[in-house]
Amino acid sequence: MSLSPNPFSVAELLEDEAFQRWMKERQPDDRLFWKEWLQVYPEKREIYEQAVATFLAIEGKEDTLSAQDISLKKEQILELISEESSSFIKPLLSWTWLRGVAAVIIMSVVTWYYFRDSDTSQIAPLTTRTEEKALKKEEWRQVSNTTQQPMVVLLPDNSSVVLSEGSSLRFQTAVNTAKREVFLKGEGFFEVSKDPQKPFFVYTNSLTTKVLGTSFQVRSFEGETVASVKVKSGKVAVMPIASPNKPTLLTQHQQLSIEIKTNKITQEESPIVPENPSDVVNQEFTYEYAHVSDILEQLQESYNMPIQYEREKLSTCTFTGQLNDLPFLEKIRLICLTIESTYQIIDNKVVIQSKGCN
Amino acid sequence: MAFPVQDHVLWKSYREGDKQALGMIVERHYRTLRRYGLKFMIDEATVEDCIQDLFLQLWQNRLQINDTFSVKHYLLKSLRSHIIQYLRAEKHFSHQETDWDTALPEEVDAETLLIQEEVALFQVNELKRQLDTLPAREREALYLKYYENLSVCEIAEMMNVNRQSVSNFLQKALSKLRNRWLVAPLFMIICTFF
Repeated sequence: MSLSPNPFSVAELLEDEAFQRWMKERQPDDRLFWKEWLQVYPEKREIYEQAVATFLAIEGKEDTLSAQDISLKKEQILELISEESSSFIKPLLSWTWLRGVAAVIIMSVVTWYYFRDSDTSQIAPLTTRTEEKALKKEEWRQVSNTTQQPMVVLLPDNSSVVLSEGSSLRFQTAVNTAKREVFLKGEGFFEVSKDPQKPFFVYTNSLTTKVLGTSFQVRSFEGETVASVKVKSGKVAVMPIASPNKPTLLTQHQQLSIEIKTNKITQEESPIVPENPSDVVNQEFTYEYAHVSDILEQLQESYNMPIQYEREKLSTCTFTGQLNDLPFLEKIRLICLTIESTYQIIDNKVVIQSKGCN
Repeated sequence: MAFPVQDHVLWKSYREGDKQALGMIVERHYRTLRRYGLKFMIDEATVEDCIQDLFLQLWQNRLQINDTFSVKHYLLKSLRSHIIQYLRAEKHFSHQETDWDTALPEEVDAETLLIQEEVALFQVNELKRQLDTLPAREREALYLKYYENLSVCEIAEMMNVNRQSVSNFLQKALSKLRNRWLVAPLFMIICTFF
């Protein structure tokens, strides 16, 4: 543990970032740190107490806002914004009939004039502009799972997310960004394709999870009092929104939960006997001479993604290997590679083409 | 440092028209903004209205708004100008001087904060009395520096004064407070003897 602040005056201590964070958030970890700090530097106690008193005097009255109050305020503001955006249309609606007709006439005249002797080359810029617009809109995509069962979302970087019921995920459709970022509301099980150059971030209202390539589950539903991250394999860093500079590292079979109201963090080993063995986060994908059709059945079930194949042709195919913590499509790809088959995604369905195995 | 990165990402998405990103910015900074706004001695409802107006304007002007180094600084600065606008309109603000609340917390959790309760209470009260003798803008500068951790440069920009004046405010304010820091140990000695 580094006892970095070694101030000589109250002002220096007041300026110290660790001290400010401690005073503002009052996390138990920080308390431990400062307790030890006071034991190591007993001569600084006076400075410390003066700094605390000064901070309290400057801070002033405590605020009484709860996390719920804040999300309520947020909703109010968003609602207001939505009303405001739709009210832009209002002046149009309140136009008199006559003006409307005039506008239509003027527009048709203009259009007629514009297209009168234009050839296709003059129209071209117009169409590209609309295409550009469409491209820009597509930069971020939002997928919401309104069905009654989990749903798999395939990300452009080949990672996959099993999105729980009532959850939504927003991600960028382009892959050429410096890092991979998604916004999650609700619960998702992530299997992230390995790319140490591009860390993968999952943002939620209560916490941020950073990974390089691994599998884990994030749960942060609005209205729930606890948010959590469960790691199935690999290593991830979790940053609570309330104390973003203090990442907690989680490794295989560890989980962390945060109480939204108090920001209390609990870190523990995942139970050996999982609560919901059928959840994809708890499933094993390790096989020894397993029938490929059985594996495909399991994948179809776990990811809720239909897989189409010819059962008879695959009847002699087996697979041995470990597919844990691989994204959905990577699992499919590796199986196809071993049984010398190919696959395609058609209409949200995996279609496997195979000549069978000898 | 995950925080600035993330704020920055949200800011970018919001400017590209992402309402939810703006919502997350609201959620993250609401407490900070409200606490700061209330220091100007105006009622809660007005502060909350000012915050609402601020975000509404941010949304309407999203295409003209630039990238910013610190979202928190940007928001505090904008809120300040919204509040001053409000005060001007209400004519409370004729002599160009804002007010700054120095009301103290109702309780001090000495045990958690690792301090002695009597000493702390005595000291906090002494400091408050000293703060009350400072001009409001010096109190504000102290708050922005030691509570919100803004730089002298950022504070100067917010308060519309040059950097040197901010440094002077802070220095003067601290030296006045320093007199009070010396009183406390004396108080402690008196307590032990009587």
